[in-house]
Amino acid sequence: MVNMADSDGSDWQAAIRRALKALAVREAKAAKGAGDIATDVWGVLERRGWVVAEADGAWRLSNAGRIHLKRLLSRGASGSLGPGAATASSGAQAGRIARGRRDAHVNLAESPLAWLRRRTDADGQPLISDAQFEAGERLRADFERGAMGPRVTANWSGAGSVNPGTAGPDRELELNAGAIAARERVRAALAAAGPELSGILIDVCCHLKGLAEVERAAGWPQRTAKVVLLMALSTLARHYGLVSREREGRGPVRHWGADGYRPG
Amino acid sequence: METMLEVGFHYLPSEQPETPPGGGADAETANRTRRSGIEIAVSQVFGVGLDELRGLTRGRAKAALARQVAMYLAHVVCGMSLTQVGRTFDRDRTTVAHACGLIEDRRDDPSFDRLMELLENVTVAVTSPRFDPKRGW
Repeated sequence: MVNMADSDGSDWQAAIRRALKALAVREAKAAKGAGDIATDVWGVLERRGWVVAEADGAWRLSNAGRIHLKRLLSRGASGSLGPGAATASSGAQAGRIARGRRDAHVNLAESPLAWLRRRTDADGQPLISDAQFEAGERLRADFERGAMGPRVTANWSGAGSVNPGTAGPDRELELNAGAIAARERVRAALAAAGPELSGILIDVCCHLKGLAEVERAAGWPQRTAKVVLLMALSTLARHYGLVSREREGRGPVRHWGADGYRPG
Repeated sequence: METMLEVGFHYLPSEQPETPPGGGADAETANRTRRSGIEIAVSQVFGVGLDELRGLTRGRAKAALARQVAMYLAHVVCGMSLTQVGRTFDRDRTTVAHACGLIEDRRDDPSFDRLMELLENVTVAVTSPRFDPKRGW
């Protein structure tokens, strides 16, 4: 058996799935070298017997290829966790971030932005750009760092003098400088987004509300929240300097210098 | 793979068995024909009697596995949906989904995978529209 590169098996799986699917969709035929599928993928497919070369130089799906495609699609649907079954499109992705010796499990599907980033439109492009995603996640990080989320449990600190030195009615008094700076950054970012767009940014990026939920709460028509969110994220990305301001005629701040400063 | 090419193994171009359009009685009959073809092949390979394979209860573990293989083949090779397979095999569609997941996991075992590969080819043959058991090919 031809052993495909096991190290990046999921990439191969995705490429193979794409190639087979393209064949199946385009009436089981595709011109050689057509489309965005790399030539070496076709080579692997042919060696495995999943495609056959026609006389007119086109690829054609073989029975084995059709069966394999069905298996791939079916496995994705049923969520069976065979080796190499995890692809970029699998829903609940649990990433692991190594810090020191212990691994922390991270739910990558926590944020609605991650969902938007994973989904692709008809052209195969992610629904939000990297800059938009980065901007949204940066806002969320500042929001969390500034401890701006609501308090979940009852606050009894004001009821008795259990620990009079540290507990008070105003949580802001206990915030350290980093948290206060994070709150300032959130306020600046939301001010830059403006009052119309800041609401959806807080709801989706910070409170991790779903888009449908936002639409219902705001009384918008269905599937409109995504457009508004994309606009808000673009504004946010520009505020953070993640997209170039060339159209506005000035670039992002690269260096502070007094008048007459010259780079050395 | 190379050895298969050496002995002259040819992969035929795909011929998806055509399901009569619109569902209905025609599709039902076609699926039943496919079921019996698959069941005959599977019963030979797994050494399980046809009546046991077609039983309404689970039966022995051996028969249950053979039935799961048959449903898996109907889903993967004939391209029938889980609901169609369930209706054809008189099982619930979630039962079929469970069977397909189970068989897919068992295919990690190379010998079982090889067995399934051969059974897939047999299934392609016996469910081909050109296959008539009375006349031969």
